[in-house]
Amino acid sequence: MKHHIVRAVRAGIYQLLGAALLTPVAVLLGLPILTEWTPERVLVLWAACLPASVLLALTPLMRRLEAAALSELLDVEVPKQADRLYLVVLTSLHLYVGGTLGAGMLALTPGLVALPEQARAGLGEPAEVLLIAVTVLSVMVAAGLGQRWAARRLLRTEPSRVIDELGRRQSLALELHDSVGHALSVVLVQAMAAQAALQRTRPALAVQSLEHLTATARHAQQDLDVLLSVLDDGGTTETPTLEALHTLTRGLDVHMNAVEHLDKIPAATSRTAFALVREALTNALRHGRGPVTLDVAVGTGLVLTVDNAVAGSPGGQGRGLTGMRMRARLAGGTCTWEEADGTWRVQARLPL
Amino acid sequence: MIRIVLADDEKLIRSGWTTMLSLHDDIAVVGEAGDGREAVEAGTGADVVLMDIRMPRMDGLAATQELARRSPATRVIVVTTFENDQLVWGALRAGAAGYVLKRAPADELVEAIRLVHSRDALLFPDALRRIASPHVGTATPRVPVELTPRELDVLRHITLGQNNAEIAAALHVTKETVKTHVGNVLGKLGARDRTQAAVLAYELGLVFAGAQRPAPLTGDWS
Repeated sequence: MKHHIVRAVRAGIYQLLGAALLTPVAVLLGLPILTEWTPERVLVLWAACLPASVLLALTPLMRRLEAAALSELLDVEVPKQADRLYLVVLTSLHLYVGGTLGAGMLALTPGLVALPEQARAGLGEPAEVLLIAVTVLSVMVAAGLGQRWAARRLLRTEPSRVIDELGRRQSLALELHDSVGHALSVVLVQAMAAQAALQRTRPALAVQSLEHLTATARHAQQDLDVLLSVLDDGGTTETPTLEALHTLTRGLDVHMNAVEHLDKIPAATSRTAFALVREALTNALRHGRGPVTLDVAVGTGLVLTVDNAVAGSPGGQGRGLTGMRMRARLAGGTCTWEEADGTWRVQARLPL
Repeated sequence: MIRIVLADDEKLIRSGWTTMLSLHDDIAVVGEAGDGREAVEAGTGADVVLMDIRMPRMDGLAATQELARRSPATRVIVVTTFENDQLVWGALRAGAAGYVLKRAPADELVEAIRLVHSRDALLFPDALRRIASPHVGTATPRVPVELTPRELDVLRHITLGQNNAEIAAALHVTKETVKTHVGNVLGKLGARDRTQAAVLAYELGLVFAGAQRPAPLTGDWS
């Protein structure tokens, strides 16, 4: 309960701050507009305050203030690289809504400010005043909570969704280019070679080319298969994030070094990372022996390292590794693996 | 005998090309390369190099430039997987004699090799005109290029892919005269071959990429 009250009070203060920030500008605009008090002129002033709010919001100082207000008063996590456009929108909204509600409160509170008689709401009974005051305060709190919701939606810890989508499309194009596109080129060239060889009745050459062609096409088909399955489960929000890392290592001989605050990692990256760790651990337990070391570090990006002792002869690049490479690349990162002195190491780097 | 070097980072592409080309008696594959640096090494002294554009260590673009410096007699054909590859134009500027698509039929590839080796005409003038369109009029010459009207005509015919005999027939002059004109045009533009002359002609806006065959200069006065 206490928690709710504190939250409501803060939401109210948030509105008052907006009103306070807009007041000097509103007063300046009011001087020429409100030479006489008529409802039309008040409406004109109110309308003029909207572009003024947007202009104010365009100043870097205002945006910095807004970021502080959002995190201190509304508990919104503002990323360092917040989307500027969204921040401008939120700041304008804050100033305008705050200013409007503040002005409403002034107009309804008798004796608070010496407003001209026409601007006073015709209020008599104290009960009415109380009712209106409660209404105004509730509206302020409700508006504050609404703005909090909007801010959380707009200021996710990732850049705007458009850029996100674009990035995914580019990495998908790259992946298709490198796997299927590349293989198709080989298939074509070898097919043409076989054709030419048959025309010149050189069947041995043709057979050789067709063998290359079949192997390449089969491999590409496999790659596409993996890519499609990665894409299928890559976009869902059902994949757990790194916060659920312990569920992977429970009851297994896994030595884990993870950084703190795994919950601070952007959701999309975190999901990819979880899927990569799951795959790497499965591989390690299936093909390796002895304990597995898992290391989750944050530097310029997120770095995942899984080490284990090699059991017997390492196989070729299976579906699992191909899937991991694609998964990492689709998230804009890389995934590499190597064997050194009997240790098999898989390392993925993902951008944050 | 045309001595040719194949440069592509995929071994299976090289082996396919080798099979295709081994069936022609006038072409001999004398070397292979898996990246740009190897291409420069192996290609020095060869007649023709088939050069993939996107390769590790040194891409086809830089390799073409280096080869043009080291082995001016070597003709480079750049190979690209995708028609809209932004690097193709750069490779042509860097001195490649032409480009082919990786999916080009075997006969087309062989024809391309023979054509650039003969130095007689431009490779795939229509394709060149298409990729030239974004670059038309983008360059300004360092020194003013002053071509005579006749030389300008010859240059237009070059960009249409005509060889000297065809140009001679079109302009009603001897082949020798055309040869002289072509030499002068290349000299004035500072171009090493017909391809570079065409590239410069488009970039300097001397010919228009949209232009079809030039109008006959002699009207019909019958």
